[in-house]
Amino acid sequence: MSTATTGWITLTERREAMVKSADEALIERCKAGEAEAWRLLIERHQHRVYHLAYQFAGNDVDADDLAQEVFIAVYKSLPSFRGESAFTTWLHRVAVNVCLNAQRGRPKAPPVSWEELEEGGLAEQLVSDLEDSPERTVLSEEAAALVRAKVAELPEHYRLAIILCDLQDVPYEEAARILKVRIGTIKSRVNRGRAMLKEKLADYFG
Amino acid sequence: MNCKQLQTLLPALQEHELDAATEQAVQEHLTACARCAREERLLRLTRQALRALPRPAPRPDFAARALARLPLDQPRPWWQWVWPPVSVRLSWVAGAAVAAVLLWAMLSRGPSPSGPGIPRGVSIAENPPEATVPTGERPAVAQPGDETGRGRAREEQAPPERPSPKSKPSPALRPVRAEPPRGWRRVPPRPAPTPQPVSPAVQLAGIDQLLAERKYQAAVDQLNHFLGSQPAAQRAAGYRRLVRAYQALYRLEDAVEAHTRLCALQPEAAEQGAELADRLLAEAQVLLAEGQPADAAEKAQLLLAHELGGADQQAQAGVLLAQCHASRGDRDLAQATHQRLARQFPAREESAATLLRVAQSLEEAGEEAAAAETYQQLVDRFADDQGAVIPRAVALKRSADLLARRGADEALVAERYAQARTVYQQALRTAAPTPQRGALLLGLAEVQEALHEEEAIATYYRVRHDFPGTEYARQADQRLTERLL
Repeated sequence: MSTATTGWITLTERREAMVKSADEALIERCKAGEAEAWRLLIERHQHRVYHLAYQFAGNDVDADDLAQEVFIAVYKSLPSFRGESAFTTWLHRVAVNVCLNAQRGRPKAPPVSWEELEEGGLAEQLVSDLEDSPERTVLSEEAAALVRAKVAELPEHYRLAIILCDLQDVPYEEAARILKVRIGTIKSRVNRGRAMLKEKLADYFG
Repeated sequence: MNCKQLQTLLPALQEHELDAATEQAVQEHLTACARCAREERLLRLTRQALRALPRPAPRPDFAARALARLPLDQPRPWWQWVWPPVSVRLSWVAGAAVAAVLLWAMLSRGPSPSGPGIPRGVSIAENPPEATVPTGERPAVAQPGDETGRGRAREEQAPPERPSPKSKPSPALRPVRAEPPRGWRRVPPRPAPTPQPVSPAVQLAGIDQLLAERKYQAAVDQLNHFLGSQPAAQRAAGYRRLVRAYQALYRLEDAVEAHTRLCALQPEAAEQGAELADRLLAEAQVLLAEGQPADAAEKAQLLLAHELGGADQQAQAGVLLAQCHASRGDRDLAQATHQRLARQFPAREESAATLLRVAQSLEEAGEEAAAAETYQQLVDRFADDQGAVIPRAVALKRSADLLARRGADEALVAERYAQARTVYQQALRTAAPTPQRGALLLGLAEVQEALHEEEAIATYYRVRHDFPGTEYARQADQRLTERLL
C-alpha cells in the first residue's frame, strides 16, 4: 500500500527519506567543493564501499586501495549525478564498475584445490563452524577465504548478484536498479549463483 | 511431489516464501528422500556460509587517507560542472550534424537572389577556412587557381553573355568578387599532410594500450582498420586481440567469428577457444535461467557449431541445448539432441568424465536406453585406464541400477553389480582418505546391498566411523536403520 493512499509512513520509509535528504544535502556541499562535506560523505559510506571492494580484492591491502579508487571515481563523476536515483544506488554502481574494471586487468587467482584444503582440515572446520551454531557463527579466516575464493570463481553475472544481495545485503529491488536489470533477473541470478556455489562447496560440506 | 518439482521449490523454501501447504509437502518429501534432503542441506549450508562471512572494516584512518587523495585544493575545471551528460552531448552532436547538412544543402543549391552575405558562385569547398587570414576586416573569399577569380566565377554563374569589347559589364552582371578585399592577404592552401607509414608493431602496441585501458570499442575500431591491410602473420595477432575485445564487450557472436578467422590462420589457436566456450556457456545458462531458452539455445549452438572448447564444454553445451528445447516444450527436438549427444560424444576419444556427464544427463532426461548404452561405452572404452577407475565404477553401478529398473534378467543385473563391486574395490585401494573416499565406500555398500551381501552392513558402519558428521555418514545411518528394521 503506498504512502500516498494511506497517509502512513513506515519506519523504513521514514529512515530512507532521512538518509536521502541527508545525502542530498551532503552532495550539494560536496559539489561546492567543501572538504568537510567530502570527509562526511566518505565516512558515511566507507563501510559499504570497503566491504564491496573486499569481495573483489580478497585482501585488506588491495581492498583499501580499491575503495579509495572508488571515492576518487565518485569525485570525478559527481557532476554527472543528477539525483534521479538514490545516491547509494549510484554509489554502488560506480563502485561495482571500478571494482570490475580493476579485477579484469588482474590475473585470475588460481583456484583453491581440494587437496590444499584437506591438508588444513578446512572442510571439517567449515561444516563444524556452520552446523554448531548456524545463526551466530562467523567463519574462521581460512574458511572465509575458501568461500570467497569459490564466490570469485562464479561467472560475473552470478558473482555480482551474490555479492550485492547476499554479501552486501542490498535488497533485490535496489540490486536490480544498480545493475540495470529486472528484479526477476536478479532473483534468478542469485538463485542460480547459490546453486552453483553449492556445487562448488558440496565436497567440503561432505 | 517429485524430486524435480522439489528442486524448483528449494530457493523459495529458503526464502520462506512458500505457503503452508506447499511447505508441508516439501518437508514431507525431504523426510522421505535422502537425495533431496542432501540438496536442501547443501543449499542451506551454502547460504549460512555466505551469511557467516566476516565483514571486514576499513582502517580507522581510511577516510582521512581517501580524502587526501581527492584533488580538492585544485579548482575543478568549469566544464566538469556545466558539461552535460552523454545523452545531451549526443543530442548536441546530432543537432550540429543536421545543421551542417542543411547548410551544405543550401549552399550547394546556390544562393537565393537576396541571400545574405554569401557571394554568388562561391562554395565552401572552394574556400577552406585556412585560405584567408584576417587582418582586421570582414573576411572574404579567394579562388584558388585564379588570382582574380573573375573568369571562373563568370563561367560558373552568369550565362555567357557575349560582352562587347568596348562596353563594361553592368554592375548587376559583374562577376562575384573573388579577390581578397583590402586588409586580407592571400595564403596558399596548405598541402594535405602525407600520412607517415606506421609499423604494424606500433599499431598493435597502440591497440594493446587501448585494451589495457579497457577502451574496447576503440580497440575494435582500430583492429578492424588494422586487419584490412596486413599480412597473415600480423592479422593473426590482430584477430587474437579482436577476440579479447569482443569478449569484453559481450559481443560473443563477433568474438566467435574473429576466433574462427584466427583459427583459419593459426590452427593451433583453436585451444584458446576454451575461454570463449566458457563465456558462451555462462551466457546460455543465464539466458535459460532468465526464461529465454531460444536465445540460450543460440549460444549453445554457436559453441557446438564452431566446436569451441574441449569435449566437456561441448557436452555441457549439448546438455544445455536439450534443456532449452525441453524448456520451450519441444520434446521431439530435445530428444533428438539427446540422441545426437549419445551418438556423437561416445564416438569420440573423450574423457571418461565427459562420457559420464553425458550419460547422467541422458538418464535424468529419461532417455534410459541411450544412457545405458553410453554407460556401457564408457566401461568398454576405459576398461584398462587406471585414471578412469572412478567414472567406470559409477557407470557400472548406474547401468546396473538402470537394468534392474527396466526389469532385465536377474543374472545379468547381478553380473553387472558384481563388476561394479570389483571396480569400486579397485578404486578404493588407490583413493586418498578424503570425502571422495566416503562417496566410493557408500557406492560400494549400495552395490553390496544389491548383491544381498552382509558385507554391506560392515561397509555402512565403516562410512559412519571414517566420516562422522558428514552427509555420507547420515546416509549410511539411514540405510543401516532401514536394513536393521
